[in-house]
Amino acid sequence: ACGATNGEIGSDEAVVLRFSYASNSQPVIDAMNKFGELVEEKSDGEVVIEYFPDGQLGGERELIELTQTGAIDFTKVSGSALESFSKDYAIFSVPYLFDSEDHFFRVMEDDTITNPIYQSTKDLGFVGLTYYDSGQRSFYMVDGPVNHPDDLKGKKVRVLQSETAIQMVELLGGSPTPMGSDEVYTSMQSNLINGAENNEFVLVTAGHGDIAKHYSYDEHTRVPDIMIMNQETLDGLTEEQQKAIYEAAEESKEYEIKVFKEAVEEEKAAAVERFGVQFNEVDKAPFQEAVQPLHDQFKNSEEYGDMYKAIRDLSDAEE
Amino acid sequence: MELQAGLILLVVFMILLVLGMPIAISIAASSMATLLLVIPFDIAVFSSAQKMVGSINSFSLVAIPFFVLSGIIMNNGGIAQKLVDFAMLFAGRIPGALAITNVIGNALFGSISSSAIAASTAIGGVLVPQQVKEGYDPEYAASVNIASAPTGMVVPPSTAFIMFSTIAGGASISSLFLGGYVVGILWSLGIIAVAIFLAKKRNYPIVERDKSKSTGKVLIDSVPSLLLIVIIIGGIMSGLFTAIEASAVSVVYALVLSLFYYKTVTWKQIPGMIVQAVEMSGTIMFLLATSSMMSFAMAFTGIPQAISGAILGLTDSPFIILLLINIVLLVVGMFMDVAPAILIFTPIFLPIVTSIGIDPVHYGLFSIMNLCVGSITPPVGTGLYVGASVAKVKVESLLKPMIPFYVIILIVLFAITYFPQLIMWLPNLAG
Amino acid sequence: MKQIKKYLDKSLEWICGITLIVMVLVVMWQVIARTILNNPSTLTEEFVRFSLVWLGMLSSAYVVGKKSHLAVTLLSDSLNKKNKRILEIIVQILFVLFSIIIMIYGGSKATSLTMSQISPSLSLPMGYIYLSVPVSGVIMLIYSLMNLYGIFTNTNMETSNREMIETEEVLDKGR
Ligand code: NA
Ligand code: NA
Repeated sequence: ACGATNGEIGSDEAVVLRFSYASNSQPVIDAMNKFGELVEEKSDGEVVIEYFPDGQLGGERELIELTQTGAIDFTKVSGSALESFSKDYAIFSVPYLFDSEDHFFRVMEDDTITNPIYQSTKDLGFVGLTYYDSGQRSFYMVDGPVNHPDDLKGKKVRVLQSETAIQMVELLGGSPTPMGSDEVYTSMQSNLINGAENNEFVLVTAGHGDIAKHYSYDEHTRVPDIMIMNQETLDGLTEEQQKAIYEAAEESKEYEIKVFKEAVEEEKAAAVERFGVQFNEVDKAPFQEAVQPLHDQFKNSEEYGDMYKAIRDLSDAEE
Repeated sequence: MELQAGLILLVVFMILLVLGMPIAISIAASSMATLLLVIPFDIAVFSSAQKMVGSINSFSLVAIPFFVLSGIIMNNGGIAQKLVDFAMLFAGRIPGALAITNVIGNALFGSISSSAIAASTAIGGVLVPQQVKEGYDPEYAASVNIASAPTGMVVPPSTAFIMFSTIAGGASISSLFLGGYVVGILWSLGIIAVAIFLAKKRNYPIVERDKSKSTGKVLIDSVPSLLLIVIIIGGIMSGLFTAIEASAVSVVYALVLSLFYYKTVTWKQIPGMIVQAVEMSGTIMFLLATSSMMSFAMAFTGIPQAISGAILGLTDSPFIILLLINIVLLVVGMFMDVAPAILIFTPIFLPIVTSIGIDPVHYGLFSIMNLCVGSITPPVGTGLYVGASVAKVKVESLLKPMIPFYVIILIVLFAITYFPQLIMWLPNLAG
Repeated sequence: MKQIKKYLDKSLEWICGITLIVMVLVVMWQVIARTILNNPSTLTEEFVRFSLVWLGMLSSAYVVGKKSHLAVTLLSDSLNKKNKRILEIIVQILFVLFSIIIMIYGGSKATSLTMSQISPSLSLPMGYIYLSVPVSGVIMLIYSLMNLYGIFTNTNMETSNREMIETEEVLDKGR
């Protein structure tokens, strides 16, 4: 949006683009800043990125809308926030869609799978540029570890406001309880819920490890974060500038994957040291079996069938 | 850019405000003027409409109309006298017992109605004339009533905290509520201490409570009202419901109580009360909706960073930063109501205080207490005028007798600002 | 004219009042479903949020009709009758501009942009939620035009005064 304004002023001046994001952990913020540095460098200073951090301009859903209108040019949001805009993104919420971390990266690096997804919102005014790793999501509970779906029987588990997340906890035998993230801590403390599911960053960064001492690696979902850009802004750039944007996005993603991994290890060490959280590995087979109905739903659907198959074809078993 | 945008925002806003334009409109107009500096008209109006919806599209905020409604039902249920009787059980034979009763009554009543003005008229209306009859100075009685009337705004349920939590990006409402109890208690204790000291010095007579009502009768009458407070704390601590859900429970409880137990409210009156609740929450939500435009316009033009940069460039001493913020808020509180002041200043100050390591809950507690003090500070403190008229004294005659009470309030305010452990132990205990 | 305003007031009071009661009942249901039936409801939160948006927007328009908005009245209190009238006209013109530019025009833009966006739990187009802005904008516009008509024709002055008193009561309770 701002690009047009500056274009009018004169071609010598740099195009200033706006990038806004919700609250994020430091390594991810570093990666997004790295993106700006790279864009500036690769475009010889023709494109400069200005940041609006920490949800200053709104939550993830609102940031997507602002990107749609061109009020901002970039944002980075969770893939699940994009479900409301393009159903394609819903596939990532399917539990055990990915057999492992390796499978996840194989799929995300496969342009024949990701490109159609990134482009699916083109008519809405924005496209995906790249993905960021946001790790895996597992159950963490107050009373004890979750080694088997049976351990979730009768347990109230906080979930995101998502149909698939709700179905998943139901299929595993627990009671899904959707609520805002700000009341999770107190609700676990007062036993209104018995646990929740998320990546490791909730333990120390959000302090949940203070109450929930058992983090069980059932690794049910891996939903990537997605960096999106306003379509009109992208079209308004020269070919070289577009290339700079895509290259910078790619390199910042590589950087993010690296620093995110390190940060997860740091977070785990801190959770053990500060709160004595216990991490345990889990046999995933009974979990995978329990959520099979969700897989069938996607496998047999007209909309997702092909995409589902393409993703499963890259699974560990097929290697 | 920040300077120009900041100036436009401030100048347009101040001019409209001083002219007596509605605050919501002053906010919207100044925000639009600022936004148009940086984005095209179409995007500016879209963003404004989006922010109006976004600011209200929050589950926490449902507590505002709910607590407003339950407060209205309770107000109509005639519970003021019952709370006065209850408080008298405790104040007993202490010098200045009636004044102490007034303080406790204001906190209890305010906890239900969240209104300084309603408390000072309902509770003070019963107790101030009684004190004058017993030979207390009317200025003394009025000062105690006025100084303790705003405590109900910090004692939960408190719409101020709910609003703050939404603006602050989800500081736990439960934690704010629990801390609010402590702030309310410290504030009340401060006023009580001064009241006893002055009563002793002036040899006010010790008043026996009305013996025609037995302790048992008083308890039977008042305990159901007080149970509302127990239900809210109990709900949060026991995990039966969240602080938000407690607001719906309180509506149902207040309705059942006044319809069937006290029988002070009839079915026919209920539609009127609901309409009143709609109108009051409409006033608050309109303000919320427009002030989110202002936060957006400020963020978009980098005003908060510019201000925080200026303050942090001036000093890096947390002591002085907190002092500056408190002074600004005290001045703001004199001219502006609590709700808009929270909405406008939280996005500016919160990033500053968190950058020096202050817990958002702690900031919420002292900043809201600070703004509540503004409602009783001249020249625009409405609480002052209402309190004076309740006691049938001139506002001017109150300025001197109020001084010891202002002093103790400021001591409490600065104590909770600089010694967070004073108020944070309860929220920390519960999380 | 007065009759139309009365009709509009009553309609809004009924719609908002019923919305408020339904919201209370739904939140109660949410508590009961979780604690007693042990079957947490997954739709209630979103339903209540969306109702709140509609309630918030409609009641904002209602407040303009009732003239019960918050303002700093330090200066206006000291004005004479004639200047107060001018001030009141400016207030209403600002409401006209606000409702047309931001609520009706901006709100329509937001509505059409979000019609294809589907909410996570109720699967409703988000445009239905944003629609509350232009709809309430139209009502706000009608109210502020009626207020202007009242000021110019002096017909409404009496009601207006009565309303001012009501307003003060409401504000007092609001604090
Ligand atoms: Na209160
Ligand atoms: Na004030």
